[in-house]
Amino acid sequence: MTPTPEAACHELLLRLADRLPDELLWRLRDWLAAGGRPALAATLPRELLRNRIGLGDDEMELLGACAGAWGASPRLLDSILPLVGTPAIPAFDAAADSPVDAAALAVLAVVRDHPGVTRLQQTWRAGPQGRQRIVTVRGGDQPWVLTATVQRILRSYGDRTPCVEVLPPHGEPSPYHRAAIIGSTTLWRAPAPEQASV
Amino acid sequence: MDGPTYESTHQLLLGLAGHVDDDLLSWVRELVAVGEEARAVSLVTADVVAERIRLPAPVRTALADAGRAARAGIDPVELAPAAEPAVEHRFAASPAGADDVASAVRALPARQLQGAAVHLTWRLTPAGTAPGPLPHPVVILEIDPARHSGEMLSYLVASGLARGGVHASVEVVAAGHEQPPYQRAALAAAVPVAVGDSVESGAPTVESSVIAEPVTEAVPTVTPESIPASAAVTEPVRVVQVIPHPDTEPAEAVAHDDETGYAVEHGYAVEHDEPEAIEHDELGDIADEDPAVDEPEPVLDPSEPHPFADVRTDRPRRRPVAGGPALSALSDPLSGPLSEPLMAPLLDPTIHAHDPLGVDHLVGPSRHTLAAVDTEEPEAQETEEPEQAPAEEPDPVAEAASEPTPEPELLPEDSWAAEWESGAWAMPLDDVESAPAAEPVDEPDADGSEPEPPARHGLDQHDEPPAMAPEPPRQLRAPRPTPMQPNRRDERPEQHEPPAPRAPEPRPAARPEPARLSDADRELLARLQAELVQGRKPRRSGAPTGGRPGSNGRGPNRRDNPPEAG
Repeated sequence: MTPTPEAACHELLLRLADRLPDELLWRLRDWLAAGGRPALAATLPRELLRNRIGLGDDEMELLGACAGAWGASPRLLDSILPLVGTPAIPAFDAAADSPVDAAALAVLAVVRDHPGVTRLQQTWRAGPQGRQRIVTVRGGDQPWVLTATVQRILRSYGDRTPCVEVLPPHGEPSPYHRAAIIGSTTLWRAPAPEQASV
Repeated sequence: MDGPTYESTHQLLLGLAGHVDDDLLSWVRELVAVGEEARAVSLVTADVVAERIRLPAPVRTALADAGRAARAGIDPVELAPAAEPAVEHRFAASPAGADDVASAVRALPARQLQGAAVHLTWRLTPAGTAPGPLPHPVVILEIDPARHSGEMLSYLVASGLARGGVHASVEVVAAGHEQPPYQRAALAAAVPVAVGDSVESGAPTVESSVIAEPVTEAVPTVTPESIPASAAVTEPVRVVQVIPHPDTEPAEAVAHDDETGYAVEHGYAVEHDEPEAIEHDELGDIADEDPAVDEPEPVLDPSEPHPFADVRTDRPRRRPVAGGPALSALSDPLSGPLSEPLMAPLLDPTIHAHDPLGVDHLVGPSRHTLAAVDTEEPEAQETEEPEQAPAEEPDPVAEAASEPTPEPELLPEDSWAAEWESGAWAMPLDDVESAPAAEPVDEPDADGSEPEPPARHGLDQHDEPPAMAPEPPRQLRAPRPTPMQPNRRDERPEQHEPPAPRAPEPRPAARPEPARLSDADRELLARLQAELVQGRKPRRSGAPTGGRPGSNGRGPNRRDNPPEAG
């Protein structure tokens, strides 16, 4: 099934976690939810080039499916670097001893009612500017919309570069997301669907 | 032309303030400051397009023009139609919930902000589609556009504040010109802030040190007549902050064309200072505050050229003081960029028997300068105290100090190094007395008359472990020029070779040979000496720095396989 351009862009932006700088990546995800197609078509390929980010073959397909569909010139798309090597996986800290803070509570309030969400997790990634909160959501319809909402909540609480990863409910996450999930605390899990009585 | 213009990129970004979120605006201003203007315009255009932000007509037009000029790749037709913003921004000078940003602003280096009036306010309303927490600090700088670059100053101040953990917006406006409504409203609710040291010795007025009090009596001190008629905006003027009288209407500020007149109106003390005064004052203040400066300088004879003088004679010689590490770093010639002559002997492949490391020209009688390099290390502090020690004997020291320049590699070096290699300085008291063999014989009070061992001496001063000193303090008491002892010369190359154990390792009291250091200790001392010369911290493990390039960090005469430290 050919993904819609939005879904392809969402998937691509997921994979660019920790490869594109956070302050750019959250904006691109925000633009996606706002419907900024021309903005993404113009900015995403250029910023990939500027930041010297290489893309694998499947990621190139995703890029063509979204930015290409939205008007990015083929020449610009062709100049994207190929992916070389695997990016290093950072360290994640679950901070299981710390209480869930107000920002996480606000995120939880929104996430649990979003259709299709099965799990909400949170972890902290160590970085040069201190630690960065990583929110991981499994499931969710129109995940890019949920991403943008959760990002704005975190921004209002002072997170200047929110990292919100809304992953599909099934399937194998990327090594980065796998590491993030392993290093996360679960804030909420959807109740199992009730057994239909026969 | 009525109304503010948005022709330049700087003015365009001013016009976008409040419409896009603060972080994007800061980022874009930084990009413009560092020369990535096209990328900046592309990013901000993309954000405006994607979020369908409605801009006022003149701003929208300017953005479209800029996007076309920068080839942003976005068709300007994509811009949402112009509209006035739905809600106007509101500002307050000190709302509830505001953090202490004023201190961070005051702590900015004043040199960059010469001639700029600095104000601080807080925005109460959100900006952009993903706004940050409120109230949001906004720093406004009124400048003379001929003197400052708007984007550069904004970036400098914003990054300076960000380093201190404060993320504020920095709006740089041209004094006397009409400003966009956002900045106008912000200024109307702003309080001025004095930047730089609160006590500036060049300041003719005292109000600069009084930040918090309402200094109503300061207002009459500045009269319009006292301001020279030529006080045009282009003159370097530092407006010292005086908290305006509560009755003063800050809204009047924007109506003034003349920066000086504005200052006078609001009771600011306007000074015409030389820009250089600030830096000297800051350093001078620090130096003057240190009480230890009062003692006579026993080691550096002013009539004698400084040991580093062959490098830069015009360098201001500040008195090194034991105590604050920062001060020592100031006084250390090696804290600045090393110039060639200083390093030349080190890099010289010629191996001198008496000075295999090539560092003799650097370790003159004034040990304190060498010690001042490594202020964080206990060794450095240890070696600084020799300066106080020779207070007992200023004359021989000065006499000795007058010697070395003609042949810096020879005599004082020997006496010093001889004592150093003897290791007597690092031993407990009883061992010191029994270590005459290594001492140069004409140090009168070398052995017997010492009130305390040099290692302990260091303890009194700094509470450091006794074995830290790589350079024995005792030499300074009597660094007489001793005749070269040929056998000592030969020994010296050897002592530099074995690598030392880790720096903080204390010298054990029990020694096989009281008169000699162990190989490992000698190596440590040599390494530390070399590293101090290099101006770097001694490594805790691994190869030391310094020495000839290609020598793998060892001195020119090091053995190839030194025993590694544990």
